[in-house]
Amino acid sequence: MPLFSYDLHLHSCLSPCADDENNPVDLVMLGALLGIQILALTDHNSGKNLPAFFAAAKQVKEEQGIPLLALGGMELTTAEEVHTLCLFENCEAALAFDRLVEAKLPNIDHRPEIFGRQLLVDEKGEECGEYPKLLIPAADISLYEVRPLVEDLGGICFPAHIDRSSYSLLANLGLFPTDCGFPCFEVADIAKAEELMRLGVVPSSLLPLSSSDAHRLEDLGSKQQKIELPELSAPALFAKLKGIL
Amino acid sequence: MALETLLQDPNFTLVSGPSDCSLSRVFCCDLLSVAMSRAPEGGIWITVMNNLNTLAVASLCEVHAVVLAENVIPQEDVIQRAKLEGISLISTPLPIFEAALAAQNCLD
Repeated sequence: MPLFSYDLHLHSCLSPCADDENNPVDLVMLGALLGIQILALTDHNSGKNLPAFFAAAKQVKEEQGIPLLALGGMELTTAEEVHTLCLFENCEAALAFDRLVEAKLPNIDHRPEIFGRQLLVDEKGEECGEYPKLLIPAADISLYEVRPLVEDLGGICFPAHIDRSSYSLLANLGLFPTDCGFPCFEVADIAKAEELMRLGVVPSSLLPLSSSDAHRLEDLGSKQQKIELPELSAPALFAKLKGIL
Repeated sequence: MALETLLQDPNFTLVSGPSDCSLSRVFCCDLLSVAMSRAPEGGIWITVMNNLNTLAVASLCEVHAVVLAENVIPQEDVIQRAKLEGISLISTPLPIFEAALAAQNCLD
């Protein structure tokens, strides 16, 4: 089976902690230039820059003929403050999830001078405003609720950077709850995955992933990870992540 | 109380920021989403959450001092943010309760 390079954890300028220069259109263009074949935009608790991301991906595919699988995503902060990556095949499903999460986020006004700006970008790649509600706090969605919500929309979700000391499943819960049914997991350092599985911290049946978690353009693709798939498609990727392939 | 009273206890080490700021109340919380709406203005906040956002929330709530308990070593970006915000950042090997109790005893 062919190998495809992926980066499934990217932040655009909508994420308050990300660089204001991290335009979603530039992420796609640079990703294509670097030869990364699977890209997912996963802003904190929002999918509002996904239309720009998908429009850019369409342009790259159709006008430049570059094979690219773009996924709509979000890095959800669950009620336990565990960062969880949620991926969807298309913009519509991702935006349906965005609406669901938006309703579950506390109404705290954004303070750009403290947390950084939350820049919205239109389909042409132009800045078109600033998202008013703070995207940092936890949504009122628990780790046990997130998977059914995501799967109802045809998506897939898994815990992010579980080897980190903050906002991570292992740091916040102290263990990997197998009953949440996460099919795979992300580590910041791929070398840690083997050790976590050998020690029995993470079930050895789960697929480890590692993506850049890029908050600046120069971080894009920094993990240089590849995945074996029969074809470049979301169903093939999701089946692989679920351990079906 | 001023922070310098607490800093006389060898269990507390000032990492950055002023050593003489005034403190209103002691506050303990590790979930930033909760702390965001509860941390007291002018307070001393004891946590194990070693993250840049801890300092952002402290700044939002106008907390004067953040104590990282349980020997949590502050990350470099956390230290830089504390310096920028002028928030006193302290580390201690004590567990959260003991650290809070020591702070409360200074406050009384």
